[in-house]
Amino acid sequence: MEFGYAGKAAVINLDDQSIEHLQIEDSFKQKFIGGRGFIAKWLLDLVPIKTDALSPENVLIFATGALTGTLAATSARMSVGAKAPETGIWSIGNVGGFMGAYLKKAGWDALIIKGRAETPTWLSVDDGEIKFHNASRLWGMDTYALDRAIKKNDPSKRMSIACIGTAGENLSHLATIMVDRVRSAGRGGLGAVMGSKNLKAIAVNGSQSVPIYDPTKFMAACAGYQKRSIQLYFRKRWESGSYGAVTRYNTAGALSTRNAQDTAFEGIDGISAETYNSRFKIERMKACFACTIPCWTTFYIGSGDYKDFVGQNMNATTFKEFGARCGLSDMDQLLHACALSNRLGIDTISAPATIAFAMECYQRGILTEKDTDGLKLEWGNGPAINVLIRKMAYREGIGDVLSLGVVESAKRFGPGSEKFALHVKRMETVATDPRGQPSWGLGYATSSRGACHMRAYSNFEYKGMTDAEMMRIAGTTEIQERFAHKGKGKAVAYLENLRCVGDAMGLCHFLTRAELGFQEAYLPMYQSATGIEITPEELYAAGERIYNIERVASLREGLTPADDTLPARYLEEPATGGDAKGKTCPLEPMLKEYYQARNWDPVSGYPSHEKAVELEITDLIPN
Amino acid sequence: MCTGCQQCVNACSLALSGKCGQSESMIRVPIHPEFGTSEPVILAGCLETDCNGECVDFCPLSILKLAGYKEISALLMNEKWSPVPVLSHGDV
Repeated sequence: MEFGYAGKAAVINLDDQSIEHLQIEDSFKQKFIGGRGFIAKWLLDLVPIKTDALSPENVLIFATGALTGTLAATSARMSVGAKAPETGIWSIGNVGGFMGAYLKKAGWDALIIKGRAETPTWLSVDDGEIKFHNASRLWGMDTYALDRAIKKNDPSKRMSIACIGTAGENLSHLATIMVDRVRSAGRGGLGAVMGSKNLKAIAVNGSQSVPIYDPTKFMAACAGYQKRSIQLYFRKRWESGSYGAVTRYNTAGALSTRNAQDTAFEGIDGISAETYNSRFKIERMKACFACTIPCWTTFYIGSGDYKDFVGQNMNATTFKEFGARCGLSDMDQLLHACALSNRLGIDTISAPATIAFAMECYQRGILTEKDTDGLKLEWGNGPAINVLIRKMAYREGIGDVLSLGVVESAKRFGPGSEKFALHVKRMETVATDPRGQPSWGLGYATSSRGACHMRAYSNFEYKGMTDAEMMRIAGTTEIQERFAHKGKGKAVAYLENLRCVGDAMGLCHFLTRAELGFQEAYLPMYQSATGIEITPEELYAAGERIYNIERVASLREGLTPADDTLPARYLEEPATGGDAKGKTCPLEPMLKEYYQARNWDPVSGYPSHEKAVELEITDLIPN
Repeated sequence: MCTGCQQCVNACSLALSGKCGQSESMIRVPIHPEFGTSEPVILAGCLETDCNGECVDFCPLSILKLAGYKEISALLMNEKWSPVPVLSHGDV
């Protein structure tokens, strides 16, 4: 009997509509844990080097974590991965909501999707039964309409749906996969991967239960974990979700404004938590499956261009990207832009980042109204931002090239524009500015999927860790000094490994950011849920193994250590506002320390032989 | 006040069956398909179970209340806060 895990994955071939069952052995579980770890190993085995991300040979995987679908606090998370068209390397993201839990309860740890359907198709996963359906009448629907259209076929069933919107259908490299309408996974264009497979949606109904190896011990372990989660994080989330942090970034000079020409935003009041809560929020916080620190709400726009518009699920990233980064302080326009992005299935980081890039090109005369379909791309022009999102999803006019991200857009816009294209490994940076939070800069530079803030998600620069925790990850408490660099390379490497463990467990980063994300914190729950004996050291090593596999996969696609860097703007142009005024990001010393902590060769970028032996990945290292 | 997290459902099923899942639980938390609003609903089988009110312990907002008949009338009359009563075993 399986405990904690379902014990099997479905290998779904869209070419011939066949389904195979893949049994997952205990040794595999112990080595890769679940979720992100499973995906890393399967992508390694199934996707040949240099595969075209939008070809049928790419493989799209949805995988639940080891604890997903259980009583463990925040155990909603499901990882989603494939080779990404925007970057040419893997992108493994993860998402909350309810689909991960339902998938596990349907009896599957993962769905491994291969090939390409001949015609638009959607999949239903109804416990053990997986069926292929014609999606011709669903093609063209936005994520909200599609969600309703599928659910109305079987309204009595409890269903969670992952789907693509217009952006994914049109193979935008910024297209994401939307789960439960408003939760996004798959930066780097995994929505386009799904679109390239002619796969519009996957609807999951899971009515079974997850057996637990030692229910009494598991109950006790979950109780302690949950209690601590509430003590640490409940109040802040309850009051202002994750969007409350936007003001802190501004004060710190870590809020990229007008495509990071500035680091603090004079329009911050317009995009603050106070403005959102007082004028737009219409409900208390709501939770994903098993979440003890709820952070999403419903909003209502009561006036203006979008009067009576209702949407859901705001976070700090949305406020930063559509707000400061695009110079927009009008919350009506911002909320609509975010909700429109969700409906069309386009990334709410990379899309506004690309719009901000176009705005800077317009500011500098590289683009004129002749190039922009007549749009005046002035900073803060909310209506133009909303028009551009639609154009990007439909790939109309200037939206056609912008839908491929900043690197491809810069190639089209011409010489001189590339220095305003803020990306790492072809993925757009996040609007948390590395001049104000240097460790985030290192995290962007070393991220295994391009500039992603959640690979390391370091929080020690803003009092997110205790002295003991900082000593543990860096050997020094100096890492809390924002503008210093000592210890940060070591800390970021450690945290990247821990995030792999958390993603493999299927828990939320908002909870596992510090005390509750260390390997010992998971152990009582993991062991009592699964019956698998594992030491904290082995668990940490599994996280490190996952990260190193992702790293090696990138190198095999042609990346080199020279790609572990940041756009020049963060390194050379001093911050203009906030506490960081006058600072640049001290990347070089942090990066040097990071390579040492990783035991990676600074020339080839590969893990050393010694590290490869330790992690049992010598077969991945060139001789 | 319910957030829709399903922790009461999970705790109930784990206590009763050793598994996590709605099918083994005596509680349902339907969620509004458009707005996400929710509220726990206690099934009749709850009255027949022998548990320690684990659902109450795991509700992050303490909106479930284990109570006897004597307390429940007062709880239901409270207009400021309407907890969902779960009858304590001795009162069934």
